[in-house]
Amino acid sequence: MGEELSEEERIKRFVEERKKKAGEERTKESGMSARERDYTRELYRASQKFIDIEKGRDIYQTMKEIWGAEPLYEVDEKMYHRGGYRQSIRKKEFIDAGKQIAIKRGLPSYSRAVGLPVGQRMLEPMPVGKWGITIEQDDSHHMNNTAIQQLNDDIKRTVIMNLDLAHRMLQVRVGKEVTPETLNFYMETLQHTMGAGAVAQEHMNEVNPYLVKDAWAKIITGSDEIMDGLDQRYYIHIDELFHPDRAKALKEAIGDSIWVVFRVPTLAMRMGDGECTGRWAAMQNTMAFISAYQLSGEHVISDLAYAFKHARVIHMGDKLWGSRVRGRNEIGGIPDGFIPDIIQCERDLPLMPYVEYMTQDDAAASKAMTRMSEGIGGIAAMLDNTLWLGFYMSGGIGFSNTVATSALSGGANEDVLSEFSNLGAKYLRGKLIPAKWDIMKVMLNMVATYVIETYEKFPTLAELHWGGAHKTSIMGTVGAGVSAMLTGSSTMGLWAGNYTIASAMKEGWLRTGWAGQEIQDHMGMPYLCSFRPEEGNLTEMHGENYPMHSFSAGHGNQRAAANYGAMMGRGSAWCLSPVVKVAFADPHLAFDFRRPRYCIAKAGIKEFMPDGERTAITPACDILDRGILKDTMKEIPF
Amino acid sequence: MAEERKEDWWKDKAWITQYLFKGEEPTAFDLLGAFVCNIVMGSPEAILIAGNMPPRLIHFVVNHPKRGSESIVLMMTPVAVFEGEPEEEPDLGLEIDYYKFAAMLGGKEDVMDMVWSGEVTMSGNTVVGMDLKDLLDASIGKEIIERPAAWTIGVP
Repeated sequence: MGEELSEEERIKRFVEERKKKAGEERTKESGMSARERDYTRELYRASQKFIDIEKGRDIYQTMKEIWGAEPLYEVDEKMYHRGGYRQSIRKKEFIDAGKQIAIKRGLPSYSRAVGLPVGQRMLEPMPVGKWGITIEQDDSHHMNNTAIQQLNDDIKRTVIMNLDLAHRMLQVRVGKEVTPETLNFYMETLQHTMGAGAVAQEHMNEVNPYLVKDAWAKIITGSDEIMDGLDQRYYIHIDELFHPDRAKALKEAIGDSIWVVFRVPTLAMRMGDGECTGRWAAMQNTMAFISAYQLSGEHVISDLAYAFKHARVIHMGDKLWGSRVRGRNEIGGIPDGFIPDIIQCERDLPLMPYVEYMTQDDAAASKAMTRMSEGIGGIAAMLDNTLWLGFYMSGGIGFSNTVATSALSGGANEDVLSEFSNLGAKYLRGKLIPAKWDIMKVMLNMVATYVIETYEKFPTLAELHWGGAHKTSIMGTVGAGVSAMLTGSSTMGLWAGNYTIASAMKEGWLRTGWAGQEIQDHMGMPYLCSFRPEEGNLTEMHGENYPMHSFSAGHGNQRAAANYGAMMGRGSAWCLSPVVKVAFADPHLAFDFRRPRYCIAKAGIKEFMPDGERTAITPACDILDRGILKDTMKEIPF
Repeated sequence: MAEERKEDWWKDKAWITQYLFKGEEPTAFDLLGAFVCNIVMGSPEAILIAGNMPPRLIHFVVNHPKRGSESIVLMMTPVAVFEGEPEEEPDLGLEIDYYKFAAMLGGKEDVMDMVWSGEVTMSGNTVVGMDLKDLLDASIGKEIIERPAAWTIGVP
């Protein structure tokens, strides 16, 4: 039975219902019609209003400089009219060289006639970092670039040993006294033995000192008292090389321990491999000990040798796994956490979390962000893309080198990152972001959208970073770096890199492109929450053999950005080891780990002098005669 | 915030009582309506800023500790406030506690600070969040944060 209502009540209810329905319809209709109309007509018109603003961005100027054309224009009117390879001075040089070599050796050499003639596009020049140096793409191939080679060599020829155990053995078991005088004498001896100079100076094959002028050893200690007693040439001056706050933190962490960083000759390491470094250093260090402390025949010598080879030794890289087997100190074995310690770009900056830089001013925040990019682009990208993937894993043309060059071309990346720093400085105002995913996701969506928008607005940028791997690499690096810088958490940074590639980039463009391989990114997000070694663990302990990660050319930089960014985000003076951090501040190194892209740029214009050259023992002859089967060989009777 | 939790807290807020005289605590829809009518409309700067924006659809999910969840929509340029779910995908979604919502509209809490501290869950176009912050700041006479060049006011 329905409710009994009077006529008056029924009319009243009817009117109320009609009013309610009309109100709902009106609200809905006015709301939707306004939105639809505005969206179809206004948004595109609105976007046109901002073209002048886009022209004010740094990236506009950078693209204009690279391409010599209107950066926002979508049509390349010079296509097919540039003359293919002839637009490149370097490639023309290669053709001439190929002809000369072919004639000289009687075998064909470099010849573009055998390849597929593409090259209708512009072979754009590459401004490296923001150092004002422009090189050609070919100049950044690791075989053409002596700085990239030296970066590789300087890491692989480094090993660090602790002397505390050795000194204790000397004092307790041999009854020798260790004093500043003995330490200085030992260090002097070490400079001799590191270059394969003999201490038992009879019937020994020694090495031409010119070949090993890059062999030396230096002490690292946090104790001012110990440093005061040492000859100034024999230790790394932490106070002079680092910002005072960083120097203080590093010295406190290292304490009174005495470490020695050994630089094995570049040539020796190149003839053998990274594993030779530890052997050479242990052998020559033991010899220096024997000589300096006048040891002979005691059983303590074998213990010293053991200490220097195994006990308290820091190798730059672990042994590689079975299928890629190599010894220690090879690029594939470097723990991810060592890369931020090898990078020195931040060492003169004040020691404070990144968000505090933001409270100072835009310039300070941008500077910190630029330093992160300098380190990631100049060192991490070279180690992972150029050397590991482009050399150890593939070799030859180095297809992943081009991805690395997208990290080198700092004008593009840093412009975006500095704009983001500016944004963060305005809206965060120095507040540390809690390492919570819901918050970081908002930030990441913003950053990813910003980068995607920039690619879409600037066809020239999309052309500069021409492959999916390039864009994946940039997206992952920016996402990981920004999140790590804001939270100080490397796990959050890596998580963010995974999310930016697998979710934000995929949703924005519906594809991640070559080197996307985002299945590992999808897995990374839940797996990073785990602390089981084969799943999440500390990201600093990851490496090239960590199972749940994509090791494409697009992913290397994001791992380094997560760790290095987190180090800077926390306001830490080092990432995994204060000793490694100090070791790579050594001003004697040919490669400047503080200004990596500068070195690479200088090498691109042939102004970087590497170590390990054999000039001292090679004949003075034309470049074409070197390494080629020459007439002299025919003169040697069989 | 604590102020808003007191009994009858809204009765001494002119910007609310001028809009409606209810005996009970206003709904989130009431608060948003009061904010638009009494604060935004009374501020020439806020009107100017809102006028320079492209159309924005902001969906608030406001959680009251006793009344539960309430869904309201704010449209900017042209302005409209209505209850319920938006029928199109909103530009911005904000999930917020009722009392924080009241404090935000009353100029006591900064929407971006609440986002970065995790008190508000934000999804969608962050630029719209900046637009909302500009509107909120302008309406209470605060200085507007200068936008980064690429995402200046009016960017879609």
